[in-house]
Amino acid sequence: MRNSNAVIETNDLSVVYKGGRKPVHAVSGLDLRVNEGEVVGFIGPNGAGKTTTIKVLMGFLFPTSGDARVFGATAGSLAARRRTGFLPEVAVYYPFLTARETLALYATLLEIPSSEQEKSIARLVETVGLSGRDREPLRTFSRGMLQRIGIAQAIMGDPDLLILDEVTSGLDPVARRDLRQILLEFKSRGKTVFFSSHELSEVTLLCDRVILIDEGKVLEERPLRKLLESMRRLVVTVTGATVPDPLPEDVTLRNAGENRLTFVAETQSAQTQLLQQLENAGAHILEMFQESGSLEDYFVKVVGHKVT
Amino acid sequence: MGTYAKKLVALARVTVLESVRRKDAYVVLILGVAMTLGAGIFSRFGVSGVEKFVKDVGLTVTSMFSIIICVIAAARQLPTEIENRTLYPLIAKPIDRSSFFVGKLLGVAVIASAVVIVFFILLRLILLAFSIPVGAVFYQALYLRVVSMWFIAAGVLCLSLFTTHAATATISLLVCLAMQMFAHTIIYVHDELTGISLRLAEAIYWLAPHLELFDLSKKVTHGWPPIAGWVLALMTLYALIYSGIFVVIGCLRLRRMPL
Amino acid sequence: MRRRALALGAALVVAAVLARITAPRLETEAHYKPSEFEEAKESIALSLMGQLRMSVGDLMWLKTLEYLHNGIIYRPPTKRERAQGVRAVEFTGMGAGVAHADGPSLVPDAERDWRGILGDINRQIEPYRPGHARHSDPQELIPWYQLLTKFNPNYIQAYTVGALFMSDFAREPEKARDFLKAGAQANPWSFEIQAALGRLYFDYFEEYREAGDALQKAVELAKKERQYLAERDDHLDEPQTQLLNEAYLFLARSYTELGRYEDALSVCAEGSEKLQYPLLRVQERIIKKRMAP
Repeated sequence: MRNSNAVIETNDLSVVYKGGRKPVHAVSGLDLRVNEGEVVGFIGPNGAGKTTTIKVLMGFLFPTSGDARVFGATAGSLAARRRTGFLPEVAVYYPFLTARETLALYATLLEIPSSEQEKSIARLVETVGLSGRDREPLRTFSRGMLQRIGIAQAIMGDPDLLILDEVTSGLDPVARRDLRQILLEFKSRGKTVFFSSHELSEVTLLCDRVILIDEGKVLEERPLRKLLESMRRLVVTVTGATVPDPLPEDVTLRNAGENRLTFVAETQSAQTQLLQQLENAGAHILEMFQESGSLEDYFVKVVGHKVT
Repeated sequence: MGTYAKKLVALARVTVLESVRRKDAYVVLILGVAMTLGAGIFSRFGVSGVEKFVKDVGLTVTSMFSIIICVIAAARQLPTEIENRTLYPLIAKPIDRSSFFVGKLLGVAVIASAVVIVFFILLRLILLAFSIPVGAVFYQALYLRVVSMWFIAAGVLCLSLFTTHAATATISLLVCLAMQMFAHTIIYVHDELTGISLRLAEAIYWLAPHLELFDLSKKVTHGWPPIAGWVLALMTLYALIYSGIFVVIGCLRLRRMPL
Repeated sequence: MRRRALALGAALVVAAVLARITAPRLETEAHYKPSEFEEAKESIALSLMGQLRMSVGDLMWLKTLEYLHNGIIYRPPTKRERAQGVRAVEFTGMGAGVAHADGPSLVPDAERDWRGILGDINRQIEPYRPGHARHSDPQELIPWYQLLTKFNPNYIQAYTVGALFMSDFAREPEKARDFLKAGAQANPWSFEIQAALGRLYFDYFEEYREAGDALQKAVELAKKERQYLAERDDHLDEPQTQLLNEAYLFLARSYTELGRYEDALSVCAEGSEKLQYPLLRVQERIIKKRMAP
């Protein structure tokens, strides 16, 4: 059973960017909570406020109003950062340093004793699949390799919380799989992971809970399992019937073939209505099954209409 | 070494490594060679009296280029880190922003001091090659120039948090290279000023950082005796105070700066 | 880094080529009057490189004054100081047509310094000595004059003063002669250089024919210069006047040494009429004495 202590907590968090013609409300009254041991996916369309929120949690930005706390301490405080590993969206490290030197720098900042740094770096280099390239300058690294360095520095020191911004950006499928394994391993040890990603398939594979944000506000916050369950739909293939007019709400005609029609009903009420209509029309049901919905379907359903 | 000091040294080391690996240090060598050649050419005048000339040219080149290198290195540090976002993974670690500022200052000051020392060594070798003697004042000039580098680095780093990279470098170079002219002008016009202009001129004089007071090159050139120890002590204190002021301002600015 | 070095190198090459191209613009046609040329030099239309060279030359001239005073910078007295009776000490160089005045030092004396501890430190850091200016060994200035003429071959004073120091202090009159000849080639209109050359031939080489030729040329050029200035309500400055006085005097002496007493008397008469230089009258009496059987 998971400990319900909040690792991340925001209360009415607002961040307003001033300086342009009009102030930009990047985050407005955001309330979110991430408990210990959870893996939470933080999703939303571009410009929703995900990176701004993460920057506040890391102390790069300061709240205009409201509150953000990490491990009970003010977000961005030394106490919070001591237990947090962070992977930024864009991997930028000193191009003139080698991978080893880069990790050694971060190890020193993490107060890892010098005697343990060598072992720790060697282990990390192997974990992220950079063995053999660790003594080359980072300017020779590809974007994917730099992201691996980023993962290495994020998990260095075995933090209790990992915050990842656009976690799989720039990673090839192999690297993505490796990262997934790292995060699952973190999760199995009771660590907390909070990450934003546009790769909803990764969110589906990793997360316990999903927070959907748009225009700086939380739209939905649900355990992933329940969310996906709510996205299950009924697929019915019938013969001997015509397309009902009007079609019930949340029912779509997927396929119209030779004397057969395939309907998809998204919601429970739509399923009931559809079956009723088909029965009344004397349709003969050839096939009927429940189909799993995807997070992408959910995402598009909730925010897709706003993107034009 | 305590963990805090280790962090500062780690940041400083990165700054120095960057300068070395970007081959900025090669500029020092090229300039040093140019200095040597220049002095060699002038020695072919074949008239006596060239000793002061060689010392003068050597010290002028040393002062000017060490200031230029210090300003350019310092002006680039923080804006580049912020612009390139290399700052984020660093600040994400348990290091406060003030320590980051101090670590960067340490790195720049080490680079600039090393440049000054290399220049002075090269100059000393040139003077030895031409059998030109120097007094203890030469080494005092070296000491004050190194101290001034710390002072300049702190000021430029602080300024870089308020303006763009290019503006920082331009303003800093203007201040550094024109400071003596400014100080002399105020002394000269002081007699002619009255009222509020006088008070303002005096206030500016007292507040402005007097870099020209770290320049012993004229005394070295013209063979003056070494200066009193209390002057060196006082100028060190002066540099420490001003550096401290710049560090405090810089840290306060960086602490509340949205990144 | 490599690209930057290449760009810098290319910029230096372009600058050197530009300097070479603009250099001929500073060479003159023989028919230009010296003062016309002086006025033209002030024109920015002439060339920017020319302007740069003149500015650098002026800065170097200031540098020589600094060297002369062992690094101590002197300044003219302010209005208030003049009202209190503070005066600059005048120095006039012999045979070089140069003069300068040493006022109080730029770094004030402790009694007159409002800057407190900063003033005390300043007096330690910068060369400073209370009291009147003292001059250092003039030989130390010679490299600067040579460098100055490389930057600006039209800096007349650099040639005349440099040659004076080479001959009088460094005891190298041959170098002084070569230096002045180079100056004369770059500035064929300059009576000052011809006068200095003539003096050198007279004092150090005792080559009175060459001295006479140079000094005669100096006198002729000076006449043109004076005429030009007079048309504009102007006149030679004090150092130039002194140089011209001595040109007449030493021309007369050269002719005297060569036994050309009539020519010598003629020069004395002309000089006395134009310049009212008393030593010419003395020279006249010397010539007449020599002429006497």
